[in-house]
Amino acid sequence: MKILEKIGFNPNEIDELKENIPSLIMQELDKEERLVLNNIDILKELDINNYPLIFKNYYEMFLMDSSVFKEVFEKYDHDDLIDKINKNVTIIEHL
Amino acid sequence: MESTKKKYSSQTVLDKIENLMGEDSFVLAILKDQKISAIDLKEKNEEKIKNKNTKISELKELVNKLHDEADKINNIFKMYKTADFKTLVDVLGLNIHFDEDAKIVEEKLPKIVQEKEDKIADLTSEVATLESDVDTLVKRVSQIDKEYDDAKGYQTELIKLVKDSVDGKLNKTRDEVVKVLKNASFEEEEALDAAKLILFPEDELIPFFNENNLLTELQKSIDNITIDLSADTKTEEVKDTAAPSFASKEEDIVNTSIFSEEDANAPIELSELNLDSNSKEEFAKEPDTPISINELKESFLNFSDNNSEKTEPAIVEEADTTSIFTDDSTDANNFEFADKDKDIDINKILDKLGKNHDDAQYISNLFVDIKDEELNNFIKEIENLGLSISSVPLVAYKHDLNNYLNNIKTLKDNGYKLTDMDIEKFSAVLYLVNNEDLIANLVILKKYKINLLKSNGKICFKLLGLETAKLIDNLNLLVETGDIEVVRTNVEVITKNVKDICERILFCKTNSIPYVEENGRHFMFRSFIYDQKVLEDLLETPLDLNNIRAAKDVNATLREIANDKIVDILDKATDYNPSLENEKQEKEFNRIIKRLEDKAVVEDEYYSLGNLLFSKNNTLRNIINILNTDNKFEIKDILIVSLLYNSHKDIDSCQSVINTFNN
Repeated sequence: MKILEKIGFNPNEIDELKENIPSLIMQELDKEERLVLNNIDILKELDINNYPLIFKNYYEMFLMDSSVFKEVFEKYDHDDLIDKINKNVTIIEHL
Repeated sequence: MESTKKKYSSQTVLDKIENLMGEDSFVLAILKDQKISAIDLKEKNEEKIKNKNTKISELKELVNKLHDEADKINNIFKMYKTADFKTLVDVLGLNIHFDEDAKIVEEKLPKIVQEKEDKIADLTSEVATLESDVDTLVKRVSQIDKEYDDAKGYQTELIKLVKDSVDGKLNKTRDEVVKVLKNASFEEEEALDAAKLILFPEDELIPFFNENNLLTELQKSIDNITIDLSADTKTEEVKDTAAPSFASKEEDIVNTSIFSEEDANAPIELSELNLDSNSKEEFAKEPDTPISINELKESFLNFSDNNSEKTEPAIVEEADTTSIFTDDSTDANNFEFADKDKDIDINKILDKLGKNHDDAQYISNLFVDIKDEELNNFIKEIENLGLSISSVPLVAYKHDLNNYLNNIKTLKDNGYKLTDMDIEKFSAVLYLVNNEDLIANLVILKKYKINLLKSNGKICFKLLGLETAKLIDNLNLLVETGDIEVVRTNVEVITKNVKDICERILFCKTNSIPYVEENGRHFMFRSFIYDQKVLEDLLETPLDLNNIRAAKDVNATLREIANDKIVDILDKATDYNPSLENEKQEKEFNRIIKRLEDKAVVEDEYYSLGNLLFSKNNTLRNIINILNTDNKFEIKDILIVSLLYNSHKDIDSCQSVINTFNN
């Protein structure tokens, strides 16, 4: 669960995520820590500050190739995207 | 796995042997952390030096300008006094104070210049200290590299030792075995215990390796090692090329932001690793060391990658799996470290797969074990499935590609149409879950009439990543609360913490709080069902919801109050989808069901006794598993246990069921 600490989740959130993330995906997220953290950094660089919420709902996306991950979030108007993600995080599924 | 692991009297020692043989060996993990910390600190110090040098330059420039301009103005002050311009000052009202200004320059300038020069001296001294620290850290990184190579060497010896022991070919004295173990980081007393296991492997070492599927992997690992038995000279060559390649990766490593001040401030001394200098020298002189460190690394990566999916590291639970040492092998632009010997051109593979070269740097051990033929077949198969090869994420190539293909095919055969976007974004489960487990989950979902499609038409892949037992438990919980219908159009609910969700549903039911809302064509739970805090905020009171019992607790209760022999049978039953085996069993099954339907109301997904709901699938599965043993029990006992086993009922409800069938 080291990756969850590194992303910045607090102990309560970590407990909650442990319950919600299937163990084989959790292990893989830990194993591919560099990839996951790089994808988190991509969101931070794009000022998408609700990345913890995105991670909670779509953790498996953080195992995507970084260039593709970046492309997903970069191809839309920046302000519009942030506004939509803040309103409803499930928009991610349609990006 | 846990129960398997605890059966050995020397469990701790066996776990330690297993851990030390893997990529996630705690010794290697400590060295990796140390290296990351040292590089991080070095980078931070270099940044500080840069900033301080900039400040020094600025201050020096300021002092020079002050001197320069002071010289000019002093020349003016020498030539003129304020009185020389009295008429102009009086008539035009000019604000000229040559005399006073000259005094200010004379008094203040030296003080200010001195302050600036003192500051320059302080900064220069700080820079010198930081530069010295950077030198020390560079040496430390180089020392850690050496320690890492040594540790890898000790690891090789340990693997060979265990392999020889398992094969019955061990030809070493106890002292020799203890020495290898101590080098590999066993304490004196532990080494003696471990030596016993290795010298007499039949009782514990071999069974342990067998049960954890380590023997096959060990063989694979050894096979890889022995390929280059004669490559003594190559060992040195590769070692030489490894060093610069490793160093060149430092910047990339730091940029991944996986460091903390805490790590940097917590160096672990060499002594903690138990590697004394004498033993290191002896290892270096060992004439039988047959392989290069890189080859060993590769063989180990194969071993550990496979192994890590089967067993978790027992000693260091949170061992950092990011290998800064092995990451060299994945840098698309600097690939000679691990793959030189294997002639893998990573960029060529990335091009073939339509991948961005930069993406490889974030994934360790990529394409380590992949063969051209396997890759070509995979590309062909993916394209035959109507998918683009470039949509397959790189991490997938670290897993069994045939299994990945089988999972895609299974979904397709079950009517799910996968798109490139699905594969690209959400398909991690497809390379992680075994095809057998994926099929088991699909069968279970079908039994509960749940399909994988979410309300937005997307496939909920996560559902396939759940352990089958967990999936069944979650479904049973939702049936027992009476809300399985809502879940049919919100299948992602099943992947969440269903127990807590059901606690909130029951609370809302008890307190008549509407918790389901219509959203277009389907129903969904309100947001507070997913989040306790939202519910608490709404009610303005903290809630302690803990009324639902875990299935295992209910089963334990049943052992006390119902027929414990039937409970035993169900404890041992492993078939999630059993079927009746003969006509006699079918007849008995029909008699039992008739009796059940006399007492209970039958619905699509559940039986209800009064206001108690019981999962129909769970009950029928239990009845069939009991009948398949051909033991004779009273129908009422079979029904009591079948309804309640793996349910989540409280003790009063259990008692109520018993009373219903005893009357």
